[in-house]
Amino acid sequence: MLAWAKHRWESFGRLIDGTPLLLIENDKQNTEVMNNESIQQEDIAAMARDCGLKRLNQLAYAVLERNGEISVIQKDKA
Amino acid sequence: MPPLQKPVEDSIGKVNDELAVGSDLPFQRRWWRFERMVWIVFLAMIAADLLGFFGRGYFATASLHPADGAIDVKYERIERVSTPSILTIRFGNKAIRDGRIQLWASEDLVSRLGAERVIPQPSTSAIGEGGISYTFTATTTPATVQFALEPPRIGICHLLLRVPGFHSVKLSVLVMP
Repeated sequence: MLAWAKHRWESFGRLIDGTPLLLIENDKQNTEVMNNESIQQEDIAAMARDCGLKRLNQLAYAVLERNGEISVIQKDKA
Repeated sequence: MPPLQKPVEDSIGKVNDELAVGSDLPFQRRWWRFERMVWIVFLAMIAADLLGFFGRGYFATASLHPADGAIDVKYERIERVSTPSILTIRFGNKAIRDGRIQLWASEDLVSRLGAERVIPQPSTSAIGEGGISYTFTATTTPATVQFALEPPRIGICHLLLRVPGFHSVKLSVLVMP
């Protein structure tokens, strides 16, 4: 029923699941999001390592997903 | 009709025109504010509970010391329905006459506060004047009587206690669910 309501009303889905939030965007950390969601830089670094990246400055974006996981996107290789 | 008929729409909001993430920070800020308010309400409720505003705590316990010195009363001003508690009445020297203490209590003591036992047992009890008159055998002070209460229903109860010849003492008790 909850799944149906979330599918039916987008705003209800946002209320229940939240929205994805940017943690890192173009070499800048969003400290407001990180503080409010109690995310540490080490959490992002762990996910970056998990994706085979050595340093945080290799990240173009880090996103806190609705399910609580962190996904990272690597910078384009020039 | 083939099941795969709807084309993929790229309707999710983008960051820097490249990352489809659908982030909504203004909504999230409102949510964080709401979360903080809920935390404050929860903490206030826990603090109120620990302080006795919902019964069994510092603010739930009350005592009355009328100037005439006939009785001192210690009671719970916030009771919980169907939960046992004790109403303690300590009599002064003036209340003892001819080796006896008389106490009149309004009928709310039984009907609203659910008095189940009197400790010690009174030598006599009689109904009348809208209440119950108890007589206890007594020698000297300290002389204390306890009523075991178990309120049967919620509401505000006003109990009157009186030793004949002295002023009445009025107690107000809130019985919570």
